[in-house]
Formats: sequence, C-alpha cells, structure tokens
Amino acid sequence: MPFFFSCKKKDDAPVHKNSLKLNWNHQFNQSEIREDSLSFLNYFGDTLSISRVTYFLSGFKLTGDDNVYTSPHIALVDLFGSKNLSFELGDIPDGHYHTIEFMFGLDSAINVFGSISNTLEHNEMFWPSSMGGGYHFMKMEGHYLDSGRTKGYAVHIGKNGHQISYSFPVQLDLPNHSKMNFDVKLEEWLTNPYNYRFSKDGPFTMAYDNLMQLIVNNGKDVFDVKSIQ
Amino acid sequence: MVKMFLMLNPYSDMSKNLKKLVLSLLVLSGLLLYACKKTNNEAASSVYVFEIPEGFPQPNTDPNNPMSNEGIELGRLLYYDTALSYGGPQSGLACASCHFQEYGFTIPAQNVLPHCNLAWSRNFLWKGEFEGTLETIMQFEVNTFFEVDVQHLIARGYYQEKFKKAFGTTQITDTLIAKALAQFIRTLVSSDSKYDKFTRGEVQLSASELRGMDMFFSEKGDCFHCHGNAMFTDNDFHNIGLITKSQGDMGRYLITGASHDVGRFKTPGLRNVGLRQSFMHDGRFKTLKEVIQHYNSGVKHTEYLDPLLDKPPLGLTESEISDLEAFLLTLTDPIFISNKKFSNPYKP
Repeated sequence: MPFFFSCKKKDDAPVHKNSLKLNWNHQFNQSEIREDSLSFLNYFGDTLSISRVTYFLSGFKLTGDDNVYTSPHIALVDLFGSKNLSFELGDIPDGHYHTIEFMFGLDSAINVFGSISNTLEHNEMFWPSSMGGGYHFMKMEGHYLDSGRTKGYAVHIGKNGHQISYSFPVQLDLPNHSKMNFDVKLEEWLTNPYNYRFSKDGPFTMAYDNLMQLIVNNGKDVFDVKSIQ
Repeated sequence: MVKMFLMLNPYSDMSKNLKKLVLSLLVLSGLLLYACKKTNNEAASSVYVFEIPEGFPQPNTDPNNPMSNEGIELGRLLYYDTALSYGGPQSGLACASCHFQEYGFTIPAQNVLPHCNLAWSRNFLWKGEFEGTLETIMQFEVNTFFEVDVQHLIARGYYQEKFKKAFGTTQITDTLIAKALAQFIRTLVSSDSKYDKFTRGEVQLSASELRGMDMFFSEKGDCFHCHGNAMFTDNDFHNIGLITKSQGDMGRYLITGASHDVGRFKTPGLRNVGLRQSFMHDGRFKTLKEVIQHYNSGVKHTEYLDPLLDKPPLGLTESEISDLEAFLLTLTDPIFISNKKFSNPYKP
C-alpha cells in the first residue's frame, strides 16, 4: 500500500483531511469495570460481574453543513483485551459537523461470515450458519449471584435485526477538534425499557430470539457522547 | 445435498475473493519485507508463500522473521535433531520426540498440546505462559527448555551452510534457531480433514456425522463457543469445571495472579483430536467419549466456572454422544499426518 500512496499524483487543490479519535469509556452504573468483579447491581439489586465484553461497531457517518463523511471502518471493541477502546476515523474533510451516526453490530449486507477482513479476532466472533450465520455482534459474559450462589450468564446477540443505529447531535469542528469521548453504559443492556433478570428471564440469550430482542430493545441508551475535544 | 451443505456448513458463506485478496496482500508484504531486509552479505533465500486455507483467518506472523524455503528446511532439520538438547535438560530429545507426526504432532497418551495450526495461535502452553507469536515460544524452548548448545549443532557439520542459506550468516545463534523452528512449525497446517472436504463440497458426511456437526455448532452441544472456527479453538482460556483443588489445577491463575483466571486453561484445537488418547491439561480423560460425558453431565460448579459452561447438564443421549464423537473424528487429517514435507528429514 505505501507504494500506491507514493506513486499517487498530488491533487492540484488538496482538501485538508483530518483524523478524529473516538474513545470508548466503559462503565456500569457510572463505575469503572474490573474484570469479573462481583461488584455491580442490576435494577433488582442482584449482584453481577462482567468477565467479557466484545462487540462490533460500524457504519460511522458524520453529517455537516456542507458535506457528509462516511467511514468503512469496522471496530471490534474488546474491553478486557484492551482492543479498540480508542480508534481513529481518517480522511475527514474540514468543516462543521452537526451529527454523528454509527451502528452497533454489522449491516446485514456484511453480516455474512468471511465478508469482513478475516482476522483472528473477527474469526472468533463467528455465529454458526445453522443459527443464522454471520457474526456475534456482542458477547457480554460474567457471573451473578442467585440466592447466594454464583452462576454464569452470557448475553450474546448477532442475528440480522439486532443491529442498533445511533445518532447524536454534536458540534464538531474540524480541524479544531480531534477527539470524541463516548460513554458506554453497560447497565443499559439490562434495563430500560425491560428490566432483565438473569435468574428469572434466563442467563443465556443466544438460543432464544425473544431474550435477544429484549436485550436489543434495551440497547438504545448504551452509548452516549460525553465530550468533544 | 448442496442445499444441506449450505445450511449446515458454518463456513459456506466465506468469500473466496476476500481470501485471494488477503493472500495477495500477504505475498506482497512478504516481498516488500524481503526487499527491504536484504543486505549485501545476505544469501538469496527464497520467499515462502504461506497459503491460507479456505475459511482460515490471517495467521499470526512475526514481521522480523519472514518465511523462506531455506528457513523452513532448516527448521525441519532442527525439529527432528536430538542434538538440540545434547547435554542439556532434555538430552537426547528433539521437538519431534514429543510431537509425533502420525498422531498430529503430539503424543497420543500424554497431555502434550499438538503442533498443529499454531500459525494462528496467540498464546502457548496450557496456562498461556507465553503470548505473541511462535517466535516467542520457540525462544523459550531453545534457551530454557532445551538449553541448546550451539557447539553441538556446529559439530554436525552441515548447519552453518544451512544458516547461511536461510539467514545469510554462518553464525548460529539461539535467536536464529528459534526463528527457523518457528518457520517450520508455522507450516504445520492441517486443513484437509473429511470435515474440510465436506465444507469444500468434495465429500459428504454420514448421517451420524451430520447430526454430530449440527449439535457441535448449536446450543444443544454448545461446543462452538470455544471450538467454533477453522482452528477449532478460540485462542482463549476457560475454566471448564474440572474442579480446582490442587496447585496443578490452578491454571492461568499461576501466570496472571488474577482470581478470575483460577482453573482456566488454554482451549486446545480439536483438529486430529481422534488420534489422541489423553485429554484435558492433566490427561484425566482417555477417550473422546469421556470428554463428551464430562461436558454432558460432569461439569463441576465452582465460583470460577466459565459462564458459558454454567448450565444445566446438556442431557445428550448415548446416541447423540456417538453422533458428536463421529463428527469429531471427521477432523482427522490423513494428509497432515503423512505429509512428507513435515516428516523426519533424517529418515529416507
């Protein structure tokens, strides 16, 4: 690829391009998350931990006064693997942008196993074709206390229809800004509108369309723009 | 049958074009690296094109160790050479002394992790003592496990020329030995099992094997969460309910000191699993059936049990267990265990 760039003829009227760093700050009830620490409470007061959070983000789009920017970037965020907790969108033209949009999961057109770059990490998110095919959009796993006994849970979603689109009004000026900080409120997956209780609803979602849909419906408030710098 | 293949084969939607693109980029990267790396005193080693089997992801490589045919040949000689630990702690042994090709590069009755598809591994040994690439673990094997004495290799008489061809120097170092071994082991790719041929549409599975595959890749058997990709391992560590009483069962905790790692061990790949006679990190199970029985009804609950296994017993019938076993046996790769490119070069 460097060859191709070096051979590319310079544009007579170059458009200044910017990069925008996106930071994803994960929390549960506004608390920092330690791996598999039984220290969080759900809506019902049940204690739970989080031992794994891995999910896809894609379809990044900035809409400005004069232009629209879209990015092909796909990020597989891995909280405890410390992967893609920050990443950059590149080649964004100067300008004022009033909206940022992105998708949780992968568009159905690319939710086909092998249709995105086949890295080890992507490979490990595969969703069996006999269950719909494509990729897990999210694996959130951990333990919870049920009548004093530690049990496991696994919130997995990834079927077409589980994509969630987010759109936030922003005041982003490039090149003056370079960072956007997001809160990722993991407790939201388990509440609002449905107060999900592992001991009652079931600790494993993947085989149950109705359970996965409850989680998806709760996902609308998981992400939020915290600040722009 | 084509319809059935598309329905059941978890890799049926793999984009062939993408695979070709990835392969092309890898070859291009290799050529660029090679071009940049070459120096005046370097011999002209020939670039080895690592072919990614259909459905496999990009391998885990070390840019400081571009593969060459000469490097692989050297690595193969070292792999089978008992001079590797002459006078050392493993005196008289070579890598191949514990990794028999005919058993998928392991010892059937011991809990030795096989040298199979390690090109896609990010961590090594049962507790993940080493993370990185094959070069990382091979450096440990050379320096600590075998305590290689270079003089014994020089005494063989032919190694200096081999190192010259592979790395452009007659000076044999522990790092270059590790690099050569890593190159050879990276070529140990198993991708021609009956299952692979089925995914390529070349053969059919029996009814029992198909039922077993369906169970494997569904919540009923729920094998796929940890073993569900081309390598049949998720490159991760899990506490699978084997009880963690003894120090030996503490697993990855002994490496990280993190309580959530208590009893967690590396997920072994399942390719050629039918050739093994010892299973789990301590070899406690002697048959595949025992392993399946463990997951079916033997998982012991502790606070450290992996969430994915904290379920009621699977409740598989004897017939379903046989089906699952039949599917696992389709992962045996007769070409892998007889490929002369991987065999002992000291034997005619």
